[in-house]
Amino acid sequence: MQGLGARLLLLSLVVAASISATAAGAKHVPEPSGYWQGPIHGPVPATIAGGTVLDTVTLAHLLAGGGVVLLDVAEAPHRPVGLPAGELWLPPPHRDIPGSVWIPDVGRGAISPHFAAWFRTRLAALTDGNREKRIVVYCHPSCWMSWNAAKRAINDGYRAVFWYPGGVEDWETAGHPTAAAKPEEPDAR
Amino acid sequence: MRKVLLCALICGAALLPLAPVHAEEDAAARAQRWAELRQAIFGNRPVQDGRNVLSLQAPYRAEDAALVPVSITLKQPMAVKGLYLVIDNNPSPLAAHFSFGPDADAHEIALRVRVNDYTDVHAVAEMRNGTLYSVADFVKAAGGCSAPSGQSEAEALQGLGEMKLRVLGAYAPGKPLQVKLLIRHPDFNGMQMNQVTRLVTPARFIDSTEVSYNGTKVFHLETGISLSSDPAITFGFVPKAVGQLEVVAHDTDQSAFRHDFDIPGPNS
Repeated sequence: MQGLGARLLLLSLVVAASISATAAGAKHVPEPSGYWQGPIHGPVPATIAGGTVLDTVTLAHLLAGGGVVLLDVAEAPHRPVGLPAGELWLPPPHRDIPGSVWIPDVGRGAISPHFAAWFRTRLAALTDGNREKRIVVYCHPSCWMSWNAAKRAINDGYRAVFWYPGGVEDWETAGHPTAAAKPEEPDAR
Repeated sequence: MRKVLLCALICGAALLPLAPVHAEEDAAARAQRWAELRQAIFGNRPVQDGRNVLSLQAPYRAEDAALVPVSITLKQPMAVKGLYLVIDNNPSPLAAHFSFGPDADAHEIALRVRVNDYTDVHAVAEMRNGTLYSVADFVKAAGGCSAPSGQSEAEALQGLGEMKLRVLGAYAPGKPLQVKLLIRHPDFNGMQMNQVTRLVTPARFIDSTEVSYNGTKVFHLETGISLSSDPAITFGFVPKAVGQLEVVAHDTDQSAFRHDFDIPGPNS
């Protein structure tokens, strides 16, 4: 009876592993040579040159060890131009991984020199100027914002940049807590 | 064998999602969001559990977050005055508000919506006596609001306001008839970036649609930016005799689109 139980458990584990492997290998997306300039939401690469890709389990281990700069770069909602005054505009509070610094839009394909300089200064402050400090960048699943922002940190000379493509949704789905966040932005873009 | 079992148990436990631990917290956040929206849309009016009044069908995991099909079944269509559809976690959550007229048959309504994030979807029925009833369903999809339309603005505006009507049943005088109305409109929500100019296209969308049959109101529909582009609205009405279904749609750019459809149509 014990043997049967163990075999069933093992079988279910193997099946679960093969299902997730199939889903992950669905489509190969090459890394762009610079920053991605296409649609922000869409298939992303499985890699980032100069950085390390994290899954949820590894991220949880990394965070448990402490000493990590956690960077959420998800976009912040702005009332759209052209939306009539009477139309209800009530974005839900943004939630992310506890301990994150939320810098919206810094992962867009093109950002102003002013915004780029502000981001470099902010990163230097967050890492105490230590280029070896671990930086984890994330946003949402299938979202280029975190890929681009991680690339900016890599190009700025940081040598321990981690990209977590699962984003806040994968983190939450795995049962980890989230917290309400407030955005940080420069006075002008 | 005992060792294998132990290992399997430990590994299995490690792989199991920890969801139950945070499920209550999650449910509380969703309830809080709905309380906020309920207040914004209905003020202090009580909203009751509507599971005996209406039901909502939406995919648990949507294939395309910009085109999520939602249908609502009303068990006592003649007692219903209006219907609200709310996508809780969208920044502009009120997708649609129907006000039914005397010729409506509201037993089944279907629409397509944009979903920006994992969200509860609420359907709220307003009865003729003013009572509100709600039901909810959870949808897993993300990014539907900023998804580009995949074509240039000029292409997207081609055929603006053209309409089609599919008759889904057989016409019989005095019997409910189900139809699907399609309106060509990009319904720019003001969050989509034009892939050529790299600029965000300002919002422009159909905000009201009036449908009547031989001059009698079927419904008035107010829609927001949570509705998908090229609105597809499935609804029922009761044609008492051969005649015309009149549709007038307005967009936020002050354009009006009108189309009359013969009932029964050439194909029914």
